[in-house]
Amino acid sequence: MYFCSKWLLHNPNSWCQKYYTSLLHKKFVAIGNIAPLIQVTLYHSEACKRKHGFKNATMRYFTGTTSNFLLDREKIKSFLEFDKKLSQEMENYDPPLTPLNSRNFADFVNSSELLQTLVMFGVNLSILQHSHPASIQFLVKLDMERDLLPKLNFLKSLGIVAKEFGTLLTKNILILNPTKVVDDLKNVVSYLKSKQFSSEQIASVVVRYPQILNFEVPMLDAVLGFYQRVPTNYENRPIHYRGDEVRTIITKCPQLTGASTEAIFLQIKMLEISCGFNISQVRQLILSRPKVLLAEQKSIEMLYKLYIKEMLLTHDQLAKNAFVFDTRLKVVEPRHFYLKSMKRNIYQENQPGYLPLYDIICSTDQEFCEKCQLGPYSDYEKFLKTQ
Amino acid sequence: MVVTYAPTAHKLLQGVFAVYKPSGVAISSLLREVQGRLVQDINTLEQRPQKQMILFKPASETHLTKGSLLDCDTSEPSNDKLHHMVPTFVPDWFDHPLVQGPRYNNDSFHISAGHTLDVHACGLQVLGLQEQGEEILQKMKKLNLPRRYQVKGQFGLASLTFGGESRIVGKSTWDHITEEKITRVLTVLQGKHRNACMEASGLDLSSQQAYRLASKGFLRPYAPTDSVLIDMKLTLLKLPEFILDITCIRESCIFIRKIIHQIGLELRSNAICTQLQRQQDAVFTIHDELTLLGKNVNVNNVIDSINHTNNILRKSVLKRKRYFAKTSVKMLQQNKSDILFPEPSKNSTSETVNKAFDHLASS
Repeated sequence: MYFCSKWLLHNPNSWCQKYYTSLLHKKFVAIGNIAPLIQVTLYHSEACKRKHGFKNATMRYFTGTTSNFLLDREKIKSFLEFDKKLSQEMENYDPPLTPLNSRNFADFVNSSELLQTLVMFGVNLSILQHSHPASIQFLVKLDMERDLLPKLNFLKSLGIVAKEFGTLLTKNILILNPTKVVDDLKNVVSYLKSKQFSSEQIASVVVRYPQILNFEVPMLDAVLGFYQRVPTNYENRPIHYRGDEVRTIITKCPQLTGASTEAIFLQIKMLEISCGFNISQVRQLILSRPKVLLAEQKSIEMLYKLYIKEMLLTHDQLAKNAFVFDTRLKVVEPRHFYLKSMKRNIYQENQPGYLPLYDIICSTDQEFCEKCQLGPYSDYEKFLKTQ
Repeated sequence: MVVTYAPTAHKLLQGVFAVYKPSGVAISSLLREVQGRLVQDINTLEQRPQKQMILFKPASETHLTKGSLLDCDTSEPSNDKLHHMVPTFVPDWFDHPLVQGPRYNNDSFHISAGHTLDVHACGLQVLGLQEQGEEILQKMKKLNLPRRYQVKGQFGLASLTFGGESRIVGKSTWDHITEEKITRVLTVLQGKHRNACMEASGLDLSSQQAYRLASKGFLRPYAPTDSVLIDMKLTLLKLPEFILDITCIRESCIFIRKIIHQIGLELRSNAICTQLQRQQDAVFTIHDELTLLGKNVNVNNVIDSINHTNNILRKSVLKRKRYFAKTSVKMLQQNKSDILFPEPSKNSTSETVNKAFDHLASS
């Protein structure tokens, strides 16, 4: 308010006056002291009108509403004195203030440099607002050199490129919490190194699943121990994995460290009982595609029914080609029926005209038509319109 | 024409288009899929630029940079440092896409469905995008246009919901069924429905107009009725399986399945419907390239199909009819002999209408 009045006093001649008079009217009506201010501006604009014949709509509006006060120059003088006092008080005042309280992260971005640098790294604040709404409490108070830089330098030392910081921090903003020191992060990494994870493996695990840095070391140790000796439906016959096998499982699917052990036990039970795999087949499945343990039970059962009852595959074949559980039923089912309609549904290796499962299941529709030599892609689209 | 700028694409995504619905997918999940794909695709296009805000900066900084709003009068010497502050345009962080989230979300597309299909039925499903699409769908609903279905059935079985998905309740023989017997049953059924159709048309059946409409096949029910069968045809018979083509108005999927069940009973056997596929709905046909598969739903594909259907529909549905006011119509009826009544087929309409209004004004 102070500033605007000053600025208008010194530059009454500008075209920007229109903008500021409207702005004043919008923003400072709530304050209540608008009347003298308008008079000051009008006083000058009237003067300038006499000189240059300057006219605009807002001026006409104000002259209409406040014509009674126009000649009251004592009030103007008192306001100017008040204004001088203000100017002495507010010399060291920075105009963009942070809002006192807000749920929206966007309200703080213009005032906080740290949030701006986070956005420049590629951190998605709109996602953070839903996933960690409380994180704004510490994000605003962070200091760039004290809190942010040492942690980013630590991540850089792991071999993570600056491009990946954005996705990493959106997944796990709690790294930046000042209660968590760099040593806590170092502890987790040094534990993983002590378990003979290579530095490349550690970097890929941290990038894909940065929540691993939040774990405490004994907790992480227990989880890795669980995967060395996974329980099955038979109490006496757990699945044993060697050290290097556990390492490949964790690097293939680091999300397993965060999953609850009970859910994983139930998933293995489902693979054994309702899908009918034996223990060595389950072991093979998990080793090649550990993602099976996190998939939805219903989708896996439906896929299993399609493979065993419709496509007449054997359990051994499924366990060898574990990628069959990566897709959705919606993708595989029409492809099988298309092959069946052309009488080319031959999935056994020893038979002539055998089609490899990888080409059928893990490819786009165009690739599927090309690799299996099924004619033009448009024919397949026509077939899809009969399903 | 390929649209690459997201706001123009969002403006163009208004109207009606057709999608193929596979069996086993509920209508709600189809809508969700289409909406999700549109949102995902439109966010990859070129977005509107970030908004800018005004900041006050010292004049010494802004003299060198571009974008200062005005040249400050630096000639006047002044001790006040704020006097030298100059407003400049700066990109507003508040409007950054990473802060505000993607520009388009699920709320920016309002999708409504036309005459809906069952979960187990498959075929062509008409969808309306935004409010304009919903309006067109309502207008098309009032027109009562017929829809064509292809029904695959099987004799000798009876199930709880007349379809192949539910539990089989009964079995019977089907050896005695021939093509002739089926066509006889179909003609009887069709005749009954045709009579009901004529009664609901609201015309005097002995009049010339009714004869003319009926001979062209335009005699359709205008009063609210139940579902009406217009045409039934046996296209293939390979016992125990058969294929029927059915055209009808105001039908539901259960109604068609029930009719298959009734045909089975009439033939002294049972029948279930193994597949129900909608092949045509008003101007949309299933084999057209512009009816999209779920995976092909895409901003540019949808815009193409919307434009195509708009060109067809503009003649009948989208065009607003021009009515006379009630008083003028009465006056027209009173002195019919004096006035040139507008006949759109012979003369150009605007001239004749103008003449009629001139006459009215003078009288």
